[in-house]
Amino acid sequence: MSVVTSLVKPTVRNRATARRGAPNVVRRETHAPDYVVLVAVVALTAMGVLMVYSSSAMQAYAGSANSFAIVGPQVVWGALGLVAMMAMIRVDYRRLRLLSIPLYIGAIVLLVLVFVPAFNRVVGGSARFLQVGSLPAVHPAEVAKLALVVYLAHWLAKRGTEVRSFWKGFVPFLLIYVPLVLLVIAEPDLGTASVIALTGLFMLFIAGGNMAHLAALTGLGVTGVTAFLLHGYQLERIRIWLNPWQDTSGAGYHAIQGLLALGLGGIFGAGLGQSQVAGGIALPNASNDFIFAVIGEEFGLVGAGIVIALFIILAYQGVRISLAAPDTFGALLAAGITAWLCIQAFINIAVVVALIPITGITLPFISAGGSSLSISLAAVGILLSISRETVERGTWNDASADRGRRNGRAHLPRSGRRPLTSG
Amino acid sequence: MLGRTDSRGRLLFVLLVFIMTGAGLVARLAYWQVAQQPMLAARAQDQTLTQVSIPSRRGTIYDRSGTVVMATTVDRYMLEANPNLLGSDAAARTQLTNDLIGIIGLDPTDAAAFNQKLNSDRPYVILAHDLDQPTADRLQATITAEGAGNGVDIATEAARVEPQVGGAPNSSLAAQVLGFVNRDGVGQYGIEQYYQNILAGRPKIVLAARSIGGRPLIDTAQVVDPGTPGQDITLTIDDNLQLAVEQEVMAAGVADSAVSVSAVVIDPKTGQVYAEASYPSYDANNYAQTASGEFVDPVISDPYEPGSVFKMLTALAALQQGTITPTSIVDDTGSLSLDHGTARIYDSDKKPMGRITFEKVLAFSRNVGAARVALGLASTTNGAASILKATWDKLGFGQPTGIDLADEAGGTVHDPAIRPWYQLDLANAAFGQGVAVTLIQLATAYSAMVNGGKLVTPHVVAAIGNQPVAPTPGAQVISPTIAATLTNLMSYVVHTVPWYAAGTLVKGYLIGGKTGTAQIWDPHMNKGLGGWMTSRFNNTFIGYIGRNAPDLVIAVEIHEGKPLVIQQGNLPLAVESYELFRRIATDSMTMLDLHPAGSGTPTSSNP
Repeated sequence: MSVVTSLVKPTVRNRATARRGAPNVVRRETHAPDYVVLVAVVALTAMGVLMVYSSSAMQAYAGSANSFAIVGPQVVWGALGLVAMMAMIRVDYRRLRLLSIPLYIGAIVLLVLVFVPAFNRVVGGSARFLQVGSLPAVHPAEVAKLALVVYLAHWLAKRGTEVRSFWKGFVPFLLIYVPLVLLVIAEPDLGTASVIALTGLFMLFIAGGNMAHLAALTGLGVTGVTAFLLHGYQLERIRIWLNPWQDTSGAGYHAIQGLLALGLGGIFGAGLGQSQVAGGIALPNASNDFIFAVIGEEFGLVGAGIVIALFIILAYQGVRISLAAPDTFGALLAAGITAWLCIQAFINIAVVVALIPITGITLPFISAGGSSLSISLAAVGILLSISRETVERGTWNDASADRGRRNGRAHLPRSGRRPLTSG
Repeated sequence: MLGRTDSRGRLLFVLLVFIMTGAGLVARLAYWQVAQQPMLAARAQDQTLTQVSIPSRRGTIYDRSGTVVMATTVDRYMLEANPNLLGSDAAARTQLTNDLIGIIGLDPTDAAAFNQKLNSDRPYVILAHDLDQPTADRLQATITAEGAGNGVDIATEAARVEPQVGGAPNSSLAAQVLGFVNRDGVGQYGIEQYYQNILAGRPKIVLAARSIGGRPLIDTAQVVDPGTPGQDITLTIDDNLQLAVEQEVMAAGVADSAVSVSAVVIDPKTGQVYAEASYPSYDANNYAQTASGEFVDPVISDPYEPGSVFKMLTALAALQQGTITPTSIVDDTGSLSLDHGTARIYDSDKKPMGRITFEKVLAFSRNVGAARVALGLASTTNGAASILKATWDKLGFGQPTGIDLADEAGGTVHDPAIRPWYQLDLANAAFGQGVAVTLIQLATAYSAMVNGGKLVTPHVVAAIGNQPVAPTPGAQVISPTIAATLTNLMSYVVHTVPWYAAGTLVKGYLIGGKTGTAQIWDPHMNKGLGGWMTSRFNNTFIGYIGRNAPDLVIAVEIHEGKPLVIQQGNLPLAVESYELFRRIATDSMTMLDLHPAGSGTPTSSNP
């Protein structure tokens, strides 16, 4: 049950249901979803299909005589993702609270299954994909992102103000959060792990987590990542990131090719399908991790800037939806999904523009990759579902939020110290 | 019901973080795409474009008539494939493989290799080379019919062909003189190597984008340097005579069971080479199936101990020193003790001929007589050695003649100034042992003896393009008088010795020459200590033929021929070197239209 559910008169459409003997049923009051988000995401997806084709056609043709070999599945996954999105818009997002625990457990199981040699498919030295029989390979870390966001939103909303507590808030949070992050690191997929870790951190922050706890966790994370980076191929990545030009044909090759593609693009770009470096032969992973470089080459600073702008619009609208969400769960869910997509996008882009070392994560909605595309679109569906129930600023009932005694503000009378959680 | 527990302020802070991050990314993007753009774009262009060198058309090689093509470049086709693009239908692939093999007509071994290549996972394989137009057309039709155009392709390639058939089976004409051209368009051996730059010209240089496989896309090419086509070359070689000489050396080689037989016909006045042949030779069109040893031209690249033909050099030295005249008496004692009795040399038959004239010493090739003349060149052994060595040097031994062919060897001559010669060394040197020379060096030296004393540079190219190659005037190395004496001595040799007269003289022509039968040092004998072969010899004859004066010098060598009988002083071959000389001399006169003075045609009928 939720604060905003209300009794409404049966409309013409559901009068029949009402007549059938449930006239006083609790109904959702919904309005149109946030079309700005919808348009931004559909635009990004469409651009993605175009760019995946542009960047993969030649290599796909060389590899299998079929220039649609990579973009074909991308279109199918995109269509499936859009269907999932439209479905999620219609579903009451609160139902996800029921699903949150099974979803979380399922994600953990999938991540563990990756380590079973019979199912995993090693890509680029990491066991990141799960292959069962002849079904398409899925990327369990993508499922894990959604599962963590949904479960954390549910759990943080349920905990309410107790998230500030060390034993009742921080420690249980760690018990939810750490196993998932560690499993993804173990794949090893440091890029996705950092997206998940940052998203969880942002959610705890937004949910009102104790700043001391957050600072400690951040410090721990930075220390851990630093220690991790200082061994093996990760260290090599750092070295290249610091100076990609030191070894143009070997280790720095990938980063440099991305920059060369950007250079060829200039301000206005070379034009659709005109990329030489990126769409041709030189740039590895042109259709997924480095697709932003292809955009930069074909559409220039203008096109690449538009992509960044679309993600900023997504962030802005996502935060607005979160602010206007009818309940804490919705707010945290909307904020979590927004944070996840934007963090992932910005990390991906930061890699291409050589701000951070190569991590190997996809650009949401754009990169080739079925799991990433369809699950991201489904997540946007959830965001849009929340957007259908946003309420006016004035009716936002945060005036009643009890932040505990020590905030020194007036608070509503209540009985005892029962936490303010509700179903 | 109950209130929100999330923080509005923190949400707004998060939004601010995202907007700042996005702005930062745009700024960084602008840094690369605007500020660093020229540098990056230039680097990218360097990497994307590749400089391709397209060979210009290689020049054709003609014989001395300028009409007979000895070597030329034609368009052929090669079958190339990207097996990855052939599709996964195994039946269709097998069908295609079998059809292609059938059209090319491969034997089972080659077919297996073909099959393996077509089924590899490499992105580029060359399945077949040197396909002619009809085969290429049939292959293209099959490829199209079976829809394999993505994976299999036919490309043009330049192929060098030597269309003239050589004198021996499975050989092309003058293969060792011409050399061949490898798949990279680089001449190997002979003229093709020596004149590589002239024949190949300057390649066209273009900048082209790379294809997906990293290969240049010629469609996108922009010409940087148009290059220059290769120039044609006209040889001094006469194709008819070359063919006849090849046939003669093969016949002699077979008859004498020789390891090799070589002959060279040159004009002593100009150094022009009319024919230069060895048996065995090879087919330059099929060089890949040839043992690499056969590429080497023995005439210019294989120094050997010449034997008694070097007595003419001893004669030259003595005549120049004035220590002897043709009619001086020399005591041929059959053997001679040297170096205070520690060494001894013998005549080939070990029998003394007594006190005979120097011309007879030469005619009957008396080793002892020649040794006495050499020892008498000066009062000391080393003085005599220096004089003999200086004579050799003057006639070009010990250094390449400068013939315009690749890989010419200079031979080996020991310098008495570096290590003094013993009497034995000097005596051996007098009859051509202990020195290594090439046949072309001998022909050049003999040319000087018969042309009035000028050391010409032998050469095989008469003209490059339309420009005749001007012959370099030879240095006067022998006085005309002594040269005339030497010419007469050679004539005396072949007229005096009955078997030489029977074997060499051609009616209506001036003939002269000198034989040489040399022992062969085998470094592998006696468990590596080395030793003289007992049943095989190198037989050399160098002579001239002419109408009013020597017109041609012909040098022949039968390398490791097997005598019919092994007898002291008598080692008959089925075809003697001087008989081979006469055959080639007759062929030469006929084919070069050098009719005998005052008569109609030479011995054999006109071709």
